[in-house]
Amino acid sequence: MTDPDVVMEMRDVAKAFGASRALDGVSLTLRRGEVHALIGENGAGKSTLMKVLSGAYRPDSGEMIYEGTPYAPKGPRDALARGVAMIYQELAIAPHLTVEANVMLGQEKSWRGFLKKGEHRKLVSEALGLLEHAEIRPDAIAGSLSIGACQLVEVARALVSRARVIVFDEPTSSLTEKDALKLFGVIERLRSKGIAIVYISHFLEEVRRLADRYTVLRDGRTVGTGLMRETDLPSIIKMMVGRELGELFPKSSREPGDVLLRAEELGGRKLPRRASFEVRRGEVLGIAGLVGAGRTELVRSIFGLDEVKRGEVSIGGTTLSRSDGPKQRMALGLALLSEDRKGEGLAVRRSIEENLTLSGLEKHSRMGWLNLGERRKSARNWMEAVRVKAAGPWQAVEKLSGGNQQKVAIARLLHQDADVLLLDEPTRGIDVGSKAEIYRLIDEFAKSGRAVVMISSYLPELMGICDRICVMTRGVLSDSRATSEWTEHAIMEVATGG
Amino acid sequence: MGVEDPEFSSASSVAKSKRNAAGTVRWLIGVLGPFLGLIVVIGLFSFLTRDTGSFLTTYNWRAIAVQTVVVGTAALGMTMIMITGGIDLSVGSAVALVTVVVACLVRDVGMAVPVALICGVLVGGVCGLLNGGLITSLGVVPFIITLGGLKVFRGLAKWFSSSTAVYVPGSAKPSWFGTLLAVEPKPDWLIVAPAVWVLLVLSLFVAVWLRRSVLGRYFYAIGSNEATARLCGINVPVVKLAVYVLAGLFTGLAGILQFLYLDGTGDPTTADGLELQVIAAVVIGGGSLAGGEGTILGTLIGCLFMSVLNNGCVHAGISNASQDVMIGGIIVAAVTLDRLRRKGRD
Repeated sequence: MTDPDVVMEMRDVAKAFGASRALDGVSLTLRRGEVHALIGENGAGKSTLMKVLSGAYRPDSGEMIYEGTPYAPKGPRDALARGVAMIYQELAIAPHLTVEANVMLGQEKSWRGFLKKGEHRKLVSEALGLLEHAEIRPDAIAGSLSIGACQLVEVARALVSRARVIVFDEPTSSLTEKDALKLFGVIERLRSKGIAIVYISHFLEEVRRLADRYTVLRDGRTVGTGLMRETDLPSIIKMMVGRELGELFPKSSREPGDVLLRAEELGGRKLPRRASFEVRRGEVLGIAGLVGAGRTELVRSIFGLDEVKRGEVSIGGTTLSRSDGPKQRMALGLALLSEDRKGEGLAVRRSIEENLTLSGLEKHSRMGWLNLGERRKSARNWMEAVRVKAAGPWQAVEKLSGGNQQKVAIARLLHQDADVLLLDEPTRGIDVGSKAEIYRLIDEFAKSGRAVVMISSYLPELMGICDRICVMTRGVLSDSRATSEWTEHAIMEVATGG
Repeated sequence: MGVEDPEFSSASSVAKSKRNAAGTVRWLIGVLGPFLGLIVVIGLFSFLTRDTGSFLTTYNWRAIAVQTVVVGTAALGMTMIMITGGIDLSVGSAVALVTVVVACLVRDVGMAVPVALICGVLVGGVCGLLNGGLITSLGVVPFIITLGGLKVFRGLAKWFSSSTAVYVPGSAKPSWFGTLLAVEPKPDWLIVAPAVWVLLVLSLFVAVWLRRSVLGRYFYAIGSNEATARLCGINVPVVKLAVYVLAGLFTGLAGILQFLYLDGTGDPTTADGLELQVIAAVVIGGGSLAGGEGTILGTLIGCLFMSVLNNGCVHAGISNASQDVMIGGIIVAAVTLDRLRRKGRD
């Protein structure tokens, strides 16, 4: 390429794993000082493409030109040495080491095997200063930092290696709103230094705000690329899913019935401080708020996982004793979807059917013996009902995409015959197609005369599917209001301190 | 890229010294925890032996120092291994194998004692190489590989020695033979046996090396988050192999010290269960079975803790059966308290 602004050009890159073609002719052009959004559903090939770029995979065919010369990194180390760095979704931080050690990891300056600590400290301070986050001390232990700060440590690592291309993979999915804003500032600064940034995110509004250009992938191919300001979101979504999404948020008319779940003046050990709400049959109640405001603690204490210090919970008119654990509460029809899908929500190494039936095994057992055939049949039915894409019920959950994993987790709650679903960030980190199906499931569940309490940090979806919304601020839950009385702006105002 | 932008030069010296102070305090708290436990145990045995007074004597403390040398030397290697998140269950067997090989080399091959001792250290290194090589090439967890090593090395020791103790003839022992581990060393100003000084100097070196060398930092990084270490381009298998070989050399050194301690005997049954004492010492000193943590100073305190327990029980006249129960209980209590204390600090 003769265009001096082009840093990296990937042309017709293909990569197959066995019979499945993960990349089938993808092209991507990165320019100096631009934020380039890489958009696509899970499984579209974004991760594979970035692994090719960062040297973790070698492409089967196609070419890559980096700053005018052919580029074929031998591994992540080689790619980093040439100036292509990756900021991983699952943070790549050694928690026991200091910030300095983490930033310099793999690129230590040394003399005869001994570290030049002075030089290290200088480089690290400079990099953090450049990011305008000098408050992160080089000798702080990385494990004691917030997730946002850990991410900046990774960015500093890329800066020290003099990266000219930095890939951010879902950087905000586990950040608080405030840390996300900080990160956007950092990205702006990197851009103004002439670094090309690849930005992968499911939050399309965020992408739209940040990116200069975009490339959309679908089924391992590039289906569109262009300037962000010349494109609107619906057309990007259309490119992503290959069809009109129609109603992303299905909302059938539902009549609220009796009160099914009521919490009164609920207070925990630390969080929540004070929360009262009720949800009726046929209703979806949304709980908005910042990460760390106590939303997760609220549903956990309702479910009997966190200690309750004050207040009462009743389900269908039965007031619960504080000593009732999840078992008693599940028997009354309560079910919780954890925000931590891999850590808590699912036993990812076990099969779909095991996960799906785990909380309702007594249905398929007699005198302690499982009826395996019946269990498999039931698992199949539920997989069909929630549309899990998998080879079969025997497949390990970790082999599924995030969206399909989440569907399995929700199917487990449905299988145990729950009346009230407590859903904690049910659509975090999953693709648009799966999101739409989860919205459909929530809607159908409520329509059948049961109730849903849903926590989300993604306001458009709360506005789209909830009947009423309340906001959690520093452990205190606001009164609920009908969704039509809220605006995103008003919710944010309450959430950030009101 | 403008990383060297002058306006972002490092912070002022005042802030720097403050930072260093904070780091020092954190380090002190980490070290003092195990130290407190040690003081409590010393207090306990002083109380239990108040009638005979045999525990708190200079001679007894010199004896404790000598009794700590073998465990301490092996624990240096174990600390490194456990920092990387690994474990070595074969230490006791490897020590026995080393004593047997050294004794056989002197008695049957007629090798000079110093040369045989060096060979003994290398035998330890080879044991480590075997452990590390199998762990990295087979991808089986260290627990299992070194459990295999525990049986194999012990078996080899019995094989080479025909399952009986191998005595080195008195004529082959050089004049310094007994002095290295003498409880009351010969120039008086040494205070403790020369081997204790060797351990202390080695410890100091290893402690600095772990903190200041690239490889030492890689040990911590791999134990803290192996995936990250790999992403940052660290050659994880090579580093792991290095840690097992290095630790093996320390085990070899512990083996020749054990050989000297037994007054020149190769005993295939010696050091049975040593690995558990060593692991307990590392964990009491702040090491973690999950990796990423552990310091040499902590480990040494842990070793002293174990020696004081063993020695104190004898002086307090506690029966052998009660000793085992008591030591087991105290280890669990010490580690539990340490974990609680650290949790509280976070």
